[in-house]
Amino acid sequence: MGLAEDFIPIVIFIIVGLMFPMVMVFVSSLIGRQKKPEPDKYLTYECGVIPTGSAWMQHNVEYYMYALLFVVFDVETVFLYPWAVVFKKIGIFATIDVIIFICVLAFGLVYAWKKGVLEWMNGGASWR
Amino acid sequence: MNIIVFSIISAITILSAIGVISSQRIMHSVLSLAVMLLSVAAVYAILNAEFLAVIQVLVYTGGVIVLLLFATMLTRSDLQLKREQPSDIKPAVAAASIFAIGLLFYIVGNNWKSLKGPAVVGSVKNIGMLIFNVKKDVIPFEIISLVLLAAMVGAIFLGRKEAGQ
Amino acid sequence: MVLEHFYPEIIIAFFAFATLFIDITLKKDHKDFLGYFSLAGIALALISVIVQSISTMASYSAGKEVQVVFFNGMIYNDIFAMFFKVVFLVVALFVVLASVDYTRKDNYKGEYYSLILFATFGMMLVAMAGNLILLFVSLELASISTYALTAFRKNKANTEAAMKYFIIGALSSGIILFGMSILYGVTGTTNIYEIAKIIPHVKDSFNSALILSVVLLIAGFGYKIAAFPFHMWAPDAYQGAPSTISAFLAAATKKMGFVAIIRILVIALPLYVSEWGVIFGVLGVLTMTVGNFSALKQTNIKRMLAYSSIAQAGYIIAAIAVISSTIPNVKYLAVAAALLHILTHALMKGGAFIAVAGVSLLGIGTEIKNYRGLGKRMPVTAMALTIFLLSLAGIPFFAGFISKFLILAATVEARGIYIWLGIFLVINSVVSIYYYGRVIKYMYFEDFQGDKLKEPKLIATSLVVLAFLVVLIGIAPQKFVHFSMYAAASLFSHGHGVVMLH
Repeated sequence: MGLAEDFIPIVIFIIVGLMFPMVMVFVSSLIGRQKKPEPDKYLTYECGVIPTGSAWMQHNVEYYMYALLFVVFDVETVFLYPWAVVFKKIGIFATIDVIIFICVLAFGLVYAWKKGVLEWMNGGASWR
Repeated sequence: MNIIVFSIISAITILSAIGVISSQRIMHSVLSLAVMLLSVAAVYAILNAEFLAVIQVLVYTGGVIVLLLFATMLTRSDLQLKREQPSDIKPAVAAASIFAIGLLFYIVGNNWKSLKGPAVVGSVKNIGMLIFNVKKDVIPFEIISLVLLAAMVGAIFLGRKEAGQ
Repeated sequence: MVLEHFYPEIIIAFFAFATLFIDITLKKDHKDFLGYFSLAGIALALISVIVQSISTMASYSAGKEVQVVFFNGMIYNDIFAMFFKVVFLVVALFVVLASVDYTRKDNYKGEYYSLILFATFGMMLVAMAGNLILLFVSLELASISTYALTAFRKNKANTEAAMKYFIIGALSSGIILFGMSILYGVTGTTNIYEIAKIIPHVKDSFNSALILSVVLLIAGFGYKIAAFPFHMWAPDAYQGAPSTISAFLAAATKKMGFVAIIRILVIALPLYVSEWGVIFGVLGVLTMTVGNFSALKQTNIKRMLAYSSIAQAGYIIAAIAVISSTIPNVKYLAVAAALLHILTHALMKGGAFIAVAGVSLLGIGTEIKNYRGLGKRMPVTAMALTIFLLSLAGIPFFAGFISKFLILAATVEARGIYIWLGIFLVINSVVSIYYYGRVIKYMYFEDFQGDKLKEPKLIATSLVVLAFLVVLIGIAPQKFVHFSMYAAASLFSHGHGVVMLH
């Protein structure tokens, strides 16, 4: 059926994407054989600095809040897309709908802003 | 052709879903979940619901998974992020099996061929015509903005730091 | 003008936004104002719903047609919906009134009140929804708001309760959505009333799909109303949540599940009435029995009230099962009985949880043994709690008796196997007297040396008004029975006029 063929480029893209790291690891294992193993050589490469601690560190809750706001506005974008497509057909009414929709979410953004969710200073701002 | 593609994709979906609930590290679970959501997007694409497929990638893989990753990273590194073995999974298995059998009856027992196909094909244009039409779905559309607002307020409310925490 | 039919919703939505807006502009010390502000909004909306329903009933009696269907069948603003809106708004009113006292020392009042308003708005829309999509979206609005409210104080108990409530709630939403998607897939429409017209044509080829859909819908909404196999979350959530929110959950959010399931099953799936009638009959008996017998051994009053709430849901489910009776006009009586019990249960269970909130505000624990001597220490609260408990037990001259009696009457009218539902209801009521009575015994008949405490004023006020309502329905139920009869009749009239009852 029509659509499946439309997605062939994407399928190829995914296959290439999956192959790429595999090939890289394979090639480097071919040419990078350890002839004289030393402990230093097994360290994780971190721009020439000796790595410290674990890669897993506790992040601030602010990151999470950002991601959350992102998801909310991500969903909003999704709804703007069909609006753009039918804009000519439905016209002013659709525009009013979308304006209400955006206003409600913009209000949410103002609220988050006022609450200090977007502030990163002051030691990770505990908001009011 | 389509049936082969579908089988491959659904195999990936099921395997990655099993991966979500069975992998020992939470990070691996999140990654399997990402794979699962992507393959669900692929299922949508096969079913001609291109818009839904795009949303699936954009919102779920692009947004929700990122959110989950941040949530995972909020946890402390010294916590044991290993899964504890659930004490008894038999009731869950029983419930899931009953549900699966019910679904089998659902799939087999109906005359699906008599369906005329969807009233509206899920193209972007048709969806736009639905959600911006006062005779159709404009009210649920506006309510969605309230749902998003309530979710945002609720999450900010829960994500707060109390003094001294 | 279309908007004049939706004043209550507009008022609630406006006040929800305004509360948030004022919250971000107001200084920290003045945030109690938000409570009174949202109280005013709810009161306004309640008045306008009551005015609306009185005028609608009057026009029905006069034989006039009233516009009920709006936006091409998206919204059905019939008396059935208005009845539920009254229930939700009354509960919200008293919860907010009690919350002003209960949350006096807490931060984040703006979020608290605006989320209550958003939840109320969502529930009101669920009551009116004539369309599956609108129903689901507003269900989510109400659910998401209450998930956050459950974790209000973010202590361990709150968080655990919220997590359980959220996971179960999200799961049940998924199940409901699956059931709805089958209905849509088979019939090609999301309008509940259109679905009813199409189902006879597709029943033969999609019988098992439709049955699966019925089962999924009952299972999904069964979680929301905490019916027997799906009830495990309720005691944990009600116990862990702040007491005012427990009142909101038990008295309002739970009823949202009932309005949705009644409308979908009765309107869209009347052809499967025998199937869902049987399911509801079995679930009803199991739910009331399990709820009552689990309540017997509880030592914590909030858990006990939660189990009693499960038992009471069982009575309502039994009343819904009677709708499947083939004897003419019994289904009206059954729906009216279910509705009246929903109203009275909302009043008494909301009142009981608010009383618990008042008691715990003064530092008394939620174990039943802590209530020793409460009759002397907090006379008003104890008196009101006694009235609510007696009413829950179904003692005559209290509201609970009237609505239970109506359910019993419906089962007797339906004859045949339905009488068994009535018998189980009576047995269960007798059992329940034990655990309600135990609390009263602790409050009045146990020795305790303690000072008389200063009762929080607003909580006491709301308790007195609620207790008054409970007694009023118990003594002079005519108006309320009338209202529920009209609501039941309007449900079956599909938006055209009303079949008059005798």
